[in-house]
Amino acid sequence: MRFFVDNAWLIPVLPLLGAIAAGALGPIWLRGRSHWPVIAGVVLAFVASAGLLMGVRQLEPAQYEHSYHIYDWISTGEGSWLTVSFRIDPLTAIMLVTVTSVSSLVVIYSRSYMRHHGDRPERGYERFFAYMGLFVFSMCVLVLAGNFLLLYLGWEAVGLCSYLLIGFYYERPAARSAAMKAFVVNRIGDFGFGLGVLLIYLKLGSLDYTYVFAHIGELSGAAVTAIALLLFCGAIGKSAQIPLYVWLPDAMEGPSPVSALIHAATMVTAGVYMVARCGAIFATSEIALPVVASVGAVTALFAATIALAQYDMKRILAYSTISQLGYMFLALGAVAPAAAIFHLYTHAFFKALLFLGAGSVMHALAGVIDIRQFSGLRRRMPVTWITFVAGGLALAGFPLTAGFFSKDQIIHAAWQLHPIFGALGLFTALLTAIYTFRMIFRAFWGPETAPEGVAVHESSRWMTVPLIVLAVGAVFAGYWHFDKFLSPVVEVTGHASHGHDSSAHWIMLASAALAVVGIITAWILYRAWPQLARGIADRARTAYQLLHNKYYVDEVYDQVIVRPLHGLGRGMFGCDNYVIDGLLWIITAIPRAAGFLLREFQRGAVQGYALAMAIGVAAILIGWLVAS
Amino acid sequence: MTQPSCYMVVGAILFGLGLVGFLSRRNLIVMFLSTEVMFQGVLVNLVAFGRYHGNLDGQAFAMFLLVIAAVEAALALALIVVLFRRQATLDAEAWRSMRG
Repeated sequence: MRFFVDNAWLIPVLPLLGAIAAGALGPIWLRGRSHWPVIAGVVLAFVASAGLLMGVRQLEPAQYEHSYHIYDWISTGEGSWLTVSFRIDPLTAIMLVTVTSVSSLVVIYSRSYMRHHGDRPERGYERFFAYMGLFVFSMCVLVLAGNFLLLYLGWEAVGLCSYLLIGFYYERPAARSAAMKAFVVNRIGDFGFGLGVLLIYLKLGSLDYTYVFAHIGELSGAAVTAIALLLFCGAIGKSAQIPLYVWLPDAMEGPSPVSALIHAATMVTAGVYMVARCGAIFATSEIALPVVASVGAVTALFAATIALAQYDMKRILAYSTISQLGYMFLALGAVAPAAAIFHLYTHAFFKALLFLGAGSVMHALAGVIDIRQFSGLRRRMPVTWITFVAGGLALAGFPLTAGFFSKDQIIHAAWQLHPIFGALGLFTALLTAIYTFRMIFRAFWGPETAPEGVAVHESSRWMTVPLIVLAVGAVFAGYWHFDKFLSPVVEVTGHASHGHDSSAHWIMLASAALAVVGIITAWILYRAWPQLARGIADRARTAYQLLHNKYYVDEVYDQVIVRPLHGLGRGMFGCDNYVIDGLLWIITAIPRAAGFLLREFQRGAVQGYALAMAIGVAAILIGWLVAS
Repeated sequence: MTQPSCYMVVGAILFGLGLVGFLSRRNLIVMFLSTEVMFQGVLVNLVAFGRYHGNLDGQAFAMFLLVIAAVEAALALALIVVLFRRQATLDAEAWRSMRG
């Protein structure tokens, strides 16, 4: 098992090799078999991650600080300051196992999803798998990184893969602009993140985790707060919190496996991982953690309200992801990073499950995913239905599912931070149950309707088996409480993960009760008494419009930020054309004027030349006479 | 001896006439004619200097110059013939396009 710890480089490299094989050999030789190298690479990476987990369990906590140096990237005179070095400790191990397990299931699922009916691979099949392999590589690098620069590399690389995969169907204008939007909004966050990394280097002279976390206390409070908040900017962008969440719903233009892997289980959790990893920095600053908790709590509530009035299944799940990420940040801010990582881990399973289930529905319904256009799918798609319900129960926090345990820990910690955070968490949990089961009841229950000419059928085994595995995970993964395993790493945080004292049992009961109440409410509103839902929507017309149109945030951004920037761009373009080019025109006018004048000397008439010669001779003669 | 200045004036007048003619005519042959006149002016000057020095050096040089003038005439007329074949005119303006 030590082998896997010492050779941890295998974990990113294997999927990368698979990606290169799929990309290089795919278009001509592998074609419809391009999934094999990537599936092999990712599954082997999962095996290696499991081995690494076993190996880490055998390590002493003191060994966690050790940086596994792989090679020097750039070395300067006094030794290299850009190294590729890994940090291997329980947090890394848990993240890697989560990432690679979900990735394996998603790639296996994609083998069938990225095909037309009749098993013909879609156009760009090889490209898809190459990008997926590249993504798994990038995410593993991000998680394994032992210094901030490698972290930043992985961070940008996953953003790149996200762009490539969102815009996979690049012939669709919506996909193209969604990819651009994701990249640009991420870039804004990454700018803050980069400034934070730069500040760390300026103040401490090193980017290595061990060094930075040990010496962070030497800096002034303002510097530490600045660093923490700048790093958090990156997390806001990458993990879709307010105000940089707007890219995630649009990212649903990508194929469903992409949504499942990148925008539910892994990439968007990079921000959470980063804040957990940099716990030392955030804890040292006084106001950073409350900021994180507030942003997380507000985002969780905000996104949950929007999800109530959406009809596109994937968009409901996207807003749900934003909301659950808010929960994770709430936990981080409430000094309970173990709870946040636990929720990250359980959320990866049940959210990926839900997205893959939505993909299964889309695949069966020829691309339709608007829940107003179909219903009653449970008879024709039983496996999808059961697994989807399992995922929904986990998301809603139904007792004894994985989601229940992790959400409960978070609300616990939130309440201890301040009751208002706890109350927000509980209320959002209620909303979560409602919107989740609204979606489930509308899609899977009721009369069997479907869009024109679509024959609803269950998906192939390549797709249903991963769904079943994930469903098992969504229910049972919560039983692996890794608090004690994780605590040495996130120990700056302290108390909340062990906080199951008797007085707080009521929180567990409350969250369980709210989940059940939410499900029942959804049943009433959307199955038993649909007119009530419509009546509420009609009475609260403005509220409904506000929620359905996502609080008009995109429109506001467009007016306030995008249009002025476009105007600035046009202004700059005009400046470039008229001012700078005008200046150049003036400068070039001088030789032109000189030429215009001098041109007269060579007019083509030979007598002119003779006259010039004669005048020249005369001038010389006169000059000579005068001088002597 | 007679002062060469009288003869030099004649020579200068001939040269000047030739120069003016060259500068102001458009017909190629007439332009060439004017250069010949410039030659003659120089010749007169040379002979006058010969007379002044009392030897025949000036006249000998003048003979050389006559031969050169004749040769040059042949050359120039050959060129004019070629140019005429090009543009079918003897107007110097026809080659105006060769300008800077």
